[in-house]
Amino acid sequence: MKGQMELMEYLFLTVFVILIIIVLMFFITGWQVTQSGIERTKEVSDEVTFLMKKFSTMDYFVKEDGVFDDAKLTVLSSMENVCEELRPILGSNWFATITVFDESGSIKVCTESNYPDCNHWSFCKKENRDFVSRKLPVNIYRNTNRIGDSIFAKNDIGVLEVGFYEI
Amino acid sequence: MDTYQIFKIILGLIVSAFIVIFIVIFISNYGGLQTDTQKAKILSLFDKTATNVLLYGNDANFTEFKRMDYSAITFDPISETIITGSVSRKLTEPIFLYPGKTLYIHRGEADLGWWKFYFVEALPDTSIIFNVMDGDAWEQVIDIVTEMPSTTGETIKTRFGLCDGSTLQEDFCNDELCERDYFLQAIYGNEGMTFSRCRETILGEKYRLVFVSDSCTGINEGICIESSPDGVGYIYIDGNQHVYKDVADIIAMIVGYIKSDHFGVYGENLYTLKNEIFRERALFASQVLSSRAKILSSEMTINQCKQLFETLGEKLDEISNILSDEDYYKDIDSAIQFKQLSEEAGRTHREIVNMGCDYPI
Repeated sequence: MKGQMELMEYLFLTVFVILIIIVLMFFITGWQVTQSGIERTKEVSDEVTFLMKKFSTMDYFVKEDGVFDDAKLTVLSSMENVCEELRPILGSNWFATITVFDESGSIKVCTESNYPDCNHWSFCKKENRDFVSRKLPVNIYRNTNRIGDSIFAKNDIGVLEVGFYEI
Repeated sequence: MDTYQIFKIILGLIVSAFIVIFIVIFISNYGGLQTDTQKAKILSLFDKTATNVLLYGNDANFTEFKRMDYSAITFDPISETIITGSVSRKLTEPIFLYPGKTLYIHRGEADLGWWKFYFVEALPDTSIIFNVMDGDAWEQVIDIVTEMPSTTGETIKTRFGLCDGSTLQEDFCNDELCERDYFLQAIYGNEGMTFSRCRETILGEKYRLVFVSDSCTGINEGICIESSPDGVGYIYIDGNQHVYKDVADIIAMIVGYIKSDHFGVYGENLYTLKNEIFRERALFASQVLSSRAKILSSEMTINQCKQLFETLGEKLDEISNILSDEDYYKDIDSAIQFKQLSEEAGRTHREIVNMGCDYPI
C-alpha cells in the first residue's frame, strides 16, 4: 500500500513538472505570437509611409519630388491593368487616390478623353477590406491649363491618399 | 533493492530523458527561429535603406551586416533574391550589393535623355584600378567613375587608381589611392594618353582591375571594357562576353566583380538583375511617356510643339517595341538601335523644353 502511494506521488510530481514545462512553452509561444502581431501592425504602418514616399518621388507619377504631373497621372489611371503594371514597382495590397482641392467639392475622374477638365485620379480600387491609410497635401502640375487660347502650366494643390490592406 | 526501486529508477530515467529531449528540441527550434528572424530583419532593413537612397539620392552607411555572417550572403539572379542561409529577400529595385561588414550605399543614374534610370551601389571598402589602353577612352572612364560613390569624410572608402604595365599608380592622392572627386581631377587632361597592359600579378586581391581597351582579345583577368565612342560595346568578365549600353551595365559588373559561388559570377548576376529590372521599368516608362506625349500633343496650341510631341510619342513607341523583346540587351544590334532611338527621343524632348512646352526630365 505504502509503495503504491509513493509511486502515485512520484507520478503526480512527474505530471506536474511536465505540465509546468508545457505551460511555459505555451507562454513563450503566445508571447512570440503577440509580439509578431504588434510587429505586423508596425510593419503595415511603415509600409503605408514607405508607399507614400515612393508614390510622391517616382518619376512615373511626378514632375519632381512631391509635384505630381497631371498628364502622367491621367495616362496611368486610364491604363486597364494599372495595378498589375505597378506591382513590380510598388508591390500589392494597396490603393491610392489623388484629388485636386476644389471648393465646390465636385469630383471629376480623369480619363484620356476628358483631360484636362478633371480633378481626380484613382489607382487600384478601394476594396471593402481592412486597411491603414494616410493623407498628404501635394502639388499637382497642370500641364495644359488654358487661359483664353493660350496654355500656361500651373500648380494646383491636392490631396494624396495612400492605403495598405491588412491581410 | 526491490522491484519497486528498480521501476522508479527506470521510470525516472525515461521521464528525465523525455523532458530533456523535449526542452532541447524546443530551445533549438526557438533559437533557430530567433536567428532567422534577426537575419530577415537585417535584410529588410538593408532593402529599405537602399530603397531610401534610391528614392532620395542621399548616400548612407549600413553597418548591420556585422551582426551576422555577411560572407554567407549571396544573390540568386533567377529569383532576384538575396539569400543568407534559410532566409531570403526579393529585390524589387536595382540594388547592386557586394556583401561586407560595413557598406557605403550610393545612388547612380543612367540618363537616357527621355528618362533616367536610377540604381544603387552598396559597397564595402573597395579599390578599383583602371588600365586605360585606349587614349580615346578617358571620357568613358570619367562617365563610370562619376556614377560611383564619393566617400570623402566617410569611414567606408571607395578608391580609384591607375595601372601602367608593372606600375601601380596609387600614390597620386597623398600617397594612397584617390577618392572619386580627387581621381577625376587627377585624370583630367589625360585624353590621348595610353598605358601599357597591366601585369595583374602586381595587384593583390584587394583590388578590382578594369581594363579599358579597343580590343579585349587575350585579356582574361578582371573586367575588360571594349571602348566605344557611342557608349555601346562589349564588356568581358571572367572571359565571358556581354553587351553594355549604359554606365549601369558596367557598374553592375564592377560592383559584383569576379567573385563566384554556385549561382555563378557575381558581376554577371548583378548585370542580369540590372537588365531585367531596367527592361521592365524602361518599357513601362516608354509606354507611359508615349501616351503622355500623345495627350499633350492633342492639347497643344503651338503647332511646332504639337508636332514635336507627336514625334516624341512615335520614338517612344519604337523604343517600347525594342524593349518588348526580353533578350534585347544580349544582342549588340538591338542595344545600338535602342541607344540611337533613346538619343533621338532625348533630342526631341530637349527641343520641346527649349520651346517652353514641357519641363526637363
